Amino acid sequence: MCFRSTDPAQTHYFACKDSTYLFHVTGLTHDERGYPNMTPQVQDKLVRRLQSKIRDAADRIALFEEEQLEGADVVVVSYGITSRVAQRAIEAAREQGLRVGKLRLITAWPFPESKIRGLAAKVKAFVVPELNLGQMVREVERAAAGQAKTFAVSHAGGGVHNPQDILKVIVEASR
Amino acid sequence: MSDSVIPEISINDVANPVEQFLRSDRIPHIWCPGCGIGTTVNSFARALIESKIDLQSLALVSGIGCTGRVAGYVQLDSFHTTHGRAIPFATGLKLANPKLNVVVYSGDGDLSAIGGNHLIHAARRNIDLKVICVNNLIYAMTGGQTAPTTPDDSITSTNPYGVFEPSFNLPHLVEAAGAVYVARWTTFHVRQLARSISEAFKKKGFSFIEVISPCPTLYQRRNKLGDGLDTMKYYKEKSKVRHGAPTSEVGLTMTGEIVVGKFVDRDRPDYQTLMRAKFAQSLGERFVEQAEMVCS
Repeated sequence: MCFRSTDPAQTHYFACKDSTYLFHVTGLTHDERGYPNMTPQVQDKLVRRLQSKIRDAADRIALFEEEQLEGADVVVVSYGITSRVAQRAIEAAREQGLRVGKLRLITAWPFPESKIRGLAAKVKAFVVPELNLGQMVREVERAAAGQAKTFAVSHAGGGVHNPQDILKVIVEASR
Repeated sequence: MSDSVIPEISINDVANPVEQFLRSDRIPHIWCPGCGIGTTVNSFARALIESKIDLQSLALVSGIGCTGRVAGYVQLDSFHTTHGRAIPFATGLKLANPKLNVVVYSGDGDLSAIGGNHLIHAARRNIDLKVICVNNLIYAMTGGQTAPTTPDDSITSTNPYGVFEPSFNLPHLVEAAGAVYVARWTTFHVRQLARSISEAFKKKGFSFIEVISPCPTLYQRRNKLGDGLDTMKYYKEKSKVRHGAPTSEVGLTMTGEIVVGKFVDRDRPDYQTLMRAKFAQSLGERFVEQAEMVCS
């Protein structure tokens, strides 16, 4: 068993008991043998390989929870503690008769880009409440690529959103 | 006159006994001429021979810095971890597989500054690790900045008028924190160092061996202390072997006496022994010993 392979299709195993292979890892830029090699060429190869391990598997490892996306006019995309507040706003909007879907991101990266792109073709808008002045909303906007509007509901922190603030934007977005 | 001829010996016929412990394909190493780290690796390798330790159950963990590079040169299962985190990484290895002999091999900056909290808490918990700390009195790889170990009045890149902050006395620090074995040597004391490492392998608990080592490129040069050889002479002349010396008295100065020897050798239950005892006491028959690591 060997972890040295750079073939992206091959799983990288740890060396095992009774194996004569001696393990070596480094946090530095390293070559196929696992040894430090600080040249831009090796750096390029390494970073692209590490990136592709995540990006190529994005559809499989990007985790999210979805609810009533089918037939939704507006999808609320949230993550972390804000999702619990958003849930209250979503339910209040549904009580008003609005068709609101929920997409709660569990992994921040890789971002479920193809999922958002697919939804963007079907919905009017995305509402993105987050506990900062707008970070993930840019990813949503990028993935939606103009097919659907994107609304940010920003909050500077120190507390959580008032569900009312999110509800207001959902109502505006579904017009 | 005798006619006998001295048989020629080819260089290929001469094997260095420590070669088997090195990743020869990695040579030449990155250390400067006169640096003492290579000398400590030699002593370490000789300790491996002397102690006949099972290499299959030995892991070497290092952090970042000049000494951190040791992990990349030894023919052992070795881990070159992130800055200051050699001890937590090694703690994880030991907890996951208690049968491993885990050696932490790193520098004074990595172990006592960036990883300073891990050092004292591993000593406090008495985690069964063998820590070899190569102390060159400075941050060498990054350009000779003042480290927590840099003695008073030394000139460094960050203290061009001389260091004025008090430095750590590492043996005193780790003894106070709870280490069961504490020794100090210089790179002049190659045999004593190898013996100390062998001894530490026999101890169960947190062992700490400090090796004073020159940095001719940055520390010796800036302080006009000569080259690697001059430093060896200094170590030879100014080192005093005082086994059992109170660690409070072994602080270092720039050109003064260096007290070396084995300062602490005591016994105290290690972390995993205490953990098992507590679990057995609290859980009674429900306590199940940790299963052995199996690979499949």
